[in-house]
Amino acid sequence: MSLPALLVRLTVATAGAYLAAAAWVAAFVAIWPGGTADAVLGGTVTAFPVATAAVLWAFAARSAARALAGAVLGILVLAAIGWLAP
Amino acid sequence: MKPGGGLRQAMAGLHIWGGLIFAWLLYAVFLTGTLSYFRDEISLWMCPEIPPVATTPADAAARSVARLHEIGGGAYRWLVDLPDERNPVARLAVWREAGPGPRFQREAFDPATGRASTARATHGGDFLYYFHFDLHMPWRLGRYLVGLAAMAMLVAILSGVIVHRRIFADFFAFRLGKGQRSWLDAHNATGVLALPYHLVITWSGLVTLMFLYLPGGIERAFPDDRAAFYAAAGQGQATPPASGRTAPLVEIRPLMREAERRWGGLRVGRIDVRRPLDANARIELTASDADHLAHGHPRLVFDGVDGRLLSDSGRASWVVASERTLYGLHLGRFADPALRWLLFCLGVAGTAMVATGLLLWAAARRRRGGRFGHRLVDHLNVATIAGLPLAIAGFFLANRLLPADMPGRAGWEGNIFFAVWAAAALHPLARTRTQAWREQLWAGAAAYAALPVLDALTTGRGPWVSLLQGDWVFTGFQLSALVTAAILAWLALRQGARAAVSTIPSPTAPSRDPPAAT
Repeated sequence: MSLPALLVRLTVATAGAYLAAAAWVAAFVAIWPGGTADAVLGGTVTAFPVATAAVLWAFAARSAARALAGAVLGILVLAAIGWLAP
Repeated sequence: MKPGGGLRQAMAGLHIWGGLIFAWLLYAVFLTGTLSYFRDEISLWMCPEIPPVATTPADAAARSVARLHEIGGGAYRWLVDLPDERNPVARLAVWREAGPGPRFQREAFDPATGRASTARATHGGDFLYYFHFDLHMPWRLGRYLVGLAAMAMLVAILSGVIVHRRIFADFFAFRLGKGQRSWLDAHNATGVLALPYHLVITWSGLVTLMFLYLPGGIERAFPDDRAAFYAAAGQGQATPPASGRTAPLVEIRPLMREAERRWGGLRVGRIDVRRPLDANARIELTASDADHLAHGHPRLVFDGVDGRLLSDSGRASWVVASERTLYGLHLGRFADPALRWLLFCLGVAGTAMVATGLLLWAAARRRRGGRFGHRLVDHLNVATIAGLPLAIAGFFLANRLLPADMPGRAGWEGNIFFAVWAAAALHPLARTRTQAWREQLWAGAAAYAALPVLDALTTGRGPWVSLLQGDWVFTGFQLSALVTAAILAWLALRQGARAAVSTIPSPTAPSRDPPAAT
């Protein structure tokens, strides 16, 4: 693995995983049909498996470019749900 | 990268390097966390003045609240953790915003005598418990580091499962005394054996501090009103504003009876009074963690002046109940003694998994020569894997050897813990790798073996006395100390044996010399 590719994957695995977890919480709170406190609890508890999956993805993806593209796409979709959902 | 072999290779790299960076911290977190299953018992052992069989009067709650009236003037919060079968004294705490008196004050209160416990000052098991997630660092730095380490642990567990293709086939093949191969077998066995435990304990550990790491949900859903969220999430009440008018606090006994009637058999574990002696006083009663899985749940809030029931968390949603259950699973306070020992053993397996992973990393790279990185890993391995148990022993020894009335005594126990650990971190600089391992392991063995002896010499509650009295707190601690000493001595002897094989295979090899005391 070349150094730039490694750095890209490391960025996805750290900043990307954190942003994915934060965006997951926002999306969960936005679309959870039940109570607000339940949405916050449920979204935050499940954010850690999401972050873990993002780290695994960062190194499992076939190329660093794919790792980055997948992470950006996932974060954008979650953030869009979180901030644009009614 | 191709799927299949390429994926496994990528996951192996992630497992090895992601695991390595946080492994020393994870070892410390796992070891002190495992000891924290016995936080109450360690606290009792460190306060030998508290008699083994203390009587808990039926009105311990009323006596504790009466005591808070004496010591808690001007406070905005009083807290009572009531005695139970694990803990014969009530733990009182008082918080003040300003004015005379300390901001935060604690007292171990003996409801049988109606006085503050005369036990020596110590942080007891709380020291190890807070170290486990806070590392006693400023600015919550320790909590962030432990959170990062826990995430690395989750990643290491899952990537390890992907790497380890024959996860169950290999499980029964354990090869002892084969160096690197043995560390790999031990790493796999401790990892696979307790895999569900490792996953749940790591995830639930992150859940206990999740709003420190991910505050976004609360900020979006409850802007400017965190307290309202916590009240809605079954995690305690907000402190009401002070009215400025004083009013006597309602009698606690009828509230206790009401709580126990509503909960059908659950006991009250905690009394939390906000704005005591103010017209706006609130009293929250929480069920004891000892009786059920979910942490701090259910709870009732009463008006502190007229005793009206204001809210009942009994109607909590399944989401709240699930989150409280994950929290309760992590703390393990629900467990009876047998289950507690099982959890302890699983925690030991987790600690051993981290330690063997580190030893495996070092053993696999040793024959490639003494590069700086390899020597650094070897050094940190000794200082952590052998040095931390030694530092904990130093903490326990300090509790027995420092004068009982010494000023600042509780803080000095902690200082000695860190001083011993610092010495263990420097010691390998002056020794070869094998010498450093052997000497620190022998020092640890001697220190743990000394603890029951010191019990006999300094407290009059030595092993025979505690065994005959059926004092399971002291007996359990003393036996555990001896088992720990035996394990450390066995590991020290094996270090010697391996050094003899790999260097000078003669009966007069240096490894046969008597161990140097450090």
